[in-house]
Amino acid sequence: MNLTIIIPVYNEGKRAVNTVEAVLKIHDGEVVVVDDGSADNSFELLTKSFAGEHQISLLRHAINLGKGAAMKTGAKYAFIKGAQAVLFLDADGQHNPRYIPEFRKCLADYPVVFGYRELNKGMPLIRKLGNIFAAHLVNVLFGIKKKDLLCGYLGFRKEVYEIIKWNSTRYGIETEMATKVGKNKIAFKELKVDTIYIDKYKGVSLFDAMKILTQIPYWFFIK
Amino acid sequence: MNILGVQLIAFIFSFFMLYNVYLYWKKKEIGAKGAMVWVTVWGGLLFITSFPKYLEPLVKELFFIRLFDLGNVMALIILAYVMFENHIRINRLQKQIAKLVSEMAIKKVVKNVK
Repeated sequence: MNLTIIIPVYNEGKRAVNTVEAVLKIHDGEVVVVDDGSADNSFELLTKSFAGEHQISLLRHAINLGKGAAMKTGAKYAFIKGAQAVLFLDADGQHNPRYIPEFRKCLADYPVVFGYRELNKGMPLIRKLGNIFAAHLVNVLFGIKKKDLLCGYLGFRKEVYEIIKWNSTRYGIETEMATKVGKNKIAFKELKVDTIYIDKYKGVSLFDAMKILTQIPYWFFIK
Repeated sequence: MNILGVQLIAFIFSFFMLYNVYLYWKKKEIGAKGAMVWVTVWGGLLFITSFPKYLEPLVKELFFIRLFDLGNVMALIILAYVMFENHIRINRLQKQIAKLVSEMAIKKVVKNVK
């Protein structure tokens, strides 16, 4: 299976380079890195580090649009270039690339594969509680039982892209995707992954989580 | 004629906004049509503030006790409408910008990679 790894980057600097290097050690296919209008030198670092590296495509948003938009650009590009499936990884190094072969294997059997974290290990309490509540709500409304609603380590095959294509540009993409998988009764698999919480000020904040919660009924009634 | 404090504030505010409209029209940031609409809005407020008795029959007809109450309701309706319009336009703009930025990013890579 032609699997493309997509890494959205925003102000990650050297961390993004390290993540891409770690991915390249494991994955021999295409890697699409989307710089979402970083204000720091992430793009320059990536360009310098991977110049002439044919395995890597580096895209850049002229302005910051949010993680969801960067993921969408990456997916669109990957499918144009002939990818059969895509897998998303965060650029800050919280997703361990060693699971890529397992994702690839699962994607051969399932159109969608979600990563899930052990909620008891290292996850901040507020995130854990929010995650559990949101997972129950999505389960009740969309009939999809997921162990971890907010994990951004996930992949899907090309044929489901148009069905689960998300509109969220910032956070909430994973939840929106899960609701669409549930609503359209798409088969999926969950894969246990370990996650390292590197920066507590990055990622989904309490306010982001509240916004996501208010969006769930909207996805139920409107989308 | 007694002038109430609220009348004075509305009067000054209307003048200030009319001046703003004039400045933006001079800077060509709003067109003649837009300027006309806003001059009508703020000029209307200026007129009502100066001659509130012209609206008294309407106040009675609509069962309001004071002209001030009618003013509040009208202001809320206008604000709600403007907010809704802004929401729709901002959403549309966001989508257009996201599409444009994404297409530009993809085009640039396609051009660079042989």
